Amino acid sequence: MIKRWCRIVISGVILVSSVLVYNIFAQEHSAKAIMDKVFTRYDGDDSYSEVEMVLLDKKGYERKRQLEIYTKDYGKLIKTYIKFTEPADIRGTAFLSIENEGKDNTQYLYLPALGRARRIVSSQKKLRFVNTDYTYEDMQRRRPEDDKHMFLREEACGQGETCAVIESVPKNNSQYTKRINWVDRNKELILRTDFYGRNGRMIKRFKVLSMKKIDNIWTAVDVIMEDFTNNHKTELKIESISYNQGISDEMFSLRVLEKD
Amino acid sequence: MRCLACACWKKINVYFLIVMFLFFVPASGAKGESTIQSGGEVNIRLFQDTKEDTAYEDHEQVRTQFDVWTKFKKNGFSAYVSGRTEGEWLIGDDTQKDVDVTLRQAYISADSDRWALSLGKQVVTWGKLDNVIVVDRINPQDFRWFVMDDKQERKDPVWMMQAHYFGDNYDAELLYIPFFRASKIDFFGSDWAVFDHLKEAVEKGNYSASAKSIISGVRIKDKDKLTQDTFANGEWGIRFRNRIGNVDCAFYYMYIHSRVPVLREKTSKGNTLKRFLYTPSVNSLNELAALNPANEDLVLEKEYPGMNVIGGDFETIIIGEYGLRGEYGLFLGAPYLRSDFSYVEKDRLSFGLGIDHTTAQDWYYNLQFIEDIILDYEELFAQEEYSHEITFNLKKDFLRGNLLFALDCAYSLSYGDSMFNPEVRYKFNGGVEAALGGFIFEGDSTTLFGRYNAKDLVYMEMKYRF
Repeated sequence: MIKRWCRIVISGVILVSSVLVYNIFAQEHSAKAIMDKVFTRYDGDDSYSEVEMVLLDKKGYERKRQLEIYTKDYGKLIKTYIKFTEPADIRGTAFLSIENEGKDNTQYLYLPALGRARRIVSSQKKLRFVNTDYTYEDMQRRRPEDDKHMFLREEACGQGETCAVIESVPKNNSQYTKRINWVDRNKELILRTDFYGRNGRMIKRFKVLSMKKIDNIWTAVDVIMEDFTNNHKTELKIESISYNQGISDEMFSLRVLEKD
Repeated sequence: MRCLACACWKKINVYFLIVMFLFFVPASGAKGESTIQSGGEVNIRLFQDTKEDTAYEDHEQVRTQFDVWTKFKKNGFSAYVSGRTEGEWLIGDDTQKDVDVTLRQAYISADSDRWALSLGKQVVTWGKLDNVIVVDRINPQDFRWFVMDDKQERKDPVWMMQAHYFGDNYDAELLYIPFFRASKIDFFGSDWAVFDHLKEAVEKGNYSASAKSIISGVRIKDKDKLTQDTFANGEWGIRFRNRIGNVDCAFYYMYIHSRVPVLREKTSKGNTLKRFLYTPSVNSLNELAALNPANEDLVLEKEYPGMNVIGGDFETIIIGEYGLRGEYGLFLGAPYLRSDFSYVEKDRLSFGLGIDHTTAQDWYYNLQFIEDIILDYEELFAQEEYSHEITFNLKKDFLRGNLLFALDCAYSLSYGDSMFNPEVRYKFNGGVEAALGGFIFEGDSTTLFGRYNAKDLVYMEMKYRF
């Protein structure tokens, strides 16, 4: 009799565990699939945008900057070139980020005072990018395979949209212990990301404030990154963007970075 | 006494008018695919000597600089022009030392996916060290203010052709500089001159009439050959850049002239003159006077020997949390002053390594080590066979970059001379910056920084960028 009960209990435990494991695997799988779709979403073969950057401190004091952003797809990989055009104290500062297959991005920052591009090494990627609330790590796309994803729930978000809420825990080195992403499944866009630090506290939040369909591509035209530790915000407003302009490869070279 | 307006008017040339024209035309607004940007900077610096060591020193000086630039871009074509007006005044002296109106950079560029070509007066940077010159020798430098300006600010644009070819995993660059230009150096009559206020000190000092007459007759002249704009004086360089593993590497070859002149004596008595100039003392002056030099003996000619340079640079080798970068060069035929004050050409191997790090609290520092090794060494006036120097740069910004603290130091391990440059800078709204800093020099009088031992100073700077 006891043996029979043992068998029933053990079978039950195995069954429940299997269901749970399957469920977790299915959730991970579906979460990864969603993040894959976001990562591989078509956002033009190249793009050129003029952006206003607004830095807001805790007293509400604003500093504005103007920048130009160029991106170009190379298969699965993207190159990005950012050039600050205003105000005069940051004019000429430029940034080049090159995605590498299976490796960390190569990033260069050109400071006019140095007269040469400086390579950003991985240990510096936790640092703020030209005094904004973005770090150099935030300036590169997060590959889905770099994180372990978990589907948490579905939730209303944006303007009447439904978002998949996905927890992404880094498998490799990152300044964050986890990110929680709100993904608009229809538009395949991340509308919000909460960043968690080493102490488990939420330290930053990225949020899309406004988006538009431009050239048939959903584009986040107003985004904000809020740093809760320093009570500081960086808002990026796209003033104009054009896709598929045939931007030349040379735009993403060290020569242009150092001479443009 | 000269007035600024008169001096400016006198020196205004067609280049400056071109710059001003291009600067104001864009204000009317160009439309379409082309873009035109303009900007500029006004900079006023006040220098105060910390101690009155001699009556000839420039105790308080003011430097003003007004830069304008404009850039035009359309598709793969761009043009850039910049001009500068600079002035220098001595407070209390009631005289203005100099006013210059110059064309700085003026070049056109054409780019395609594989090729890029730039023609005109421009600045080029090779190498990976900050504020130190090992292989970054394409442009001459303005040393009239020694190291008061950073390396990039000191660079003098020169006419050149720069061509790039972009391969799949590398790029190749060819430079051709048709006309030689030397670095700007004062030999007499300023705090930063190579021979300081030596002439003035002798002429106004308690010396014999013959000694005064000899020193007032000393002349340092240009030798015609390199100062003529002929293609025979051309210089060139070639650079290949690619990535080896995860490290960006460059390899280059240059044929350039030494930008800092050697002083070639016209007669054998000239070496005794050089002994006095480099190690001034009553004894060396008497020794010179005893030779009873004629006018010809008191002439030194500036020469700029040609050098072949094979070198390279790399960035970045990751060592834990640190990034290592560097540059190196083998200089074939670099000029040196012998202990008898004649010149000799020696090959030299130079290299520099730099480590950068930013702490979790956002303190940035870099430490650079520079080594010079003179091959086939013989006893020289001021250089040892192996000489080592370190530089240290510390920076921390506060208030999101509005307040900046910086410390620049250089210390020669071989000769014991050093330079310290602390600075605090605040950025106001609307492009205005104010800075307060100082320069402290230590060392023996025959060393690079020790030569300016008595020239410690504090400075204030106001800058407006537009």
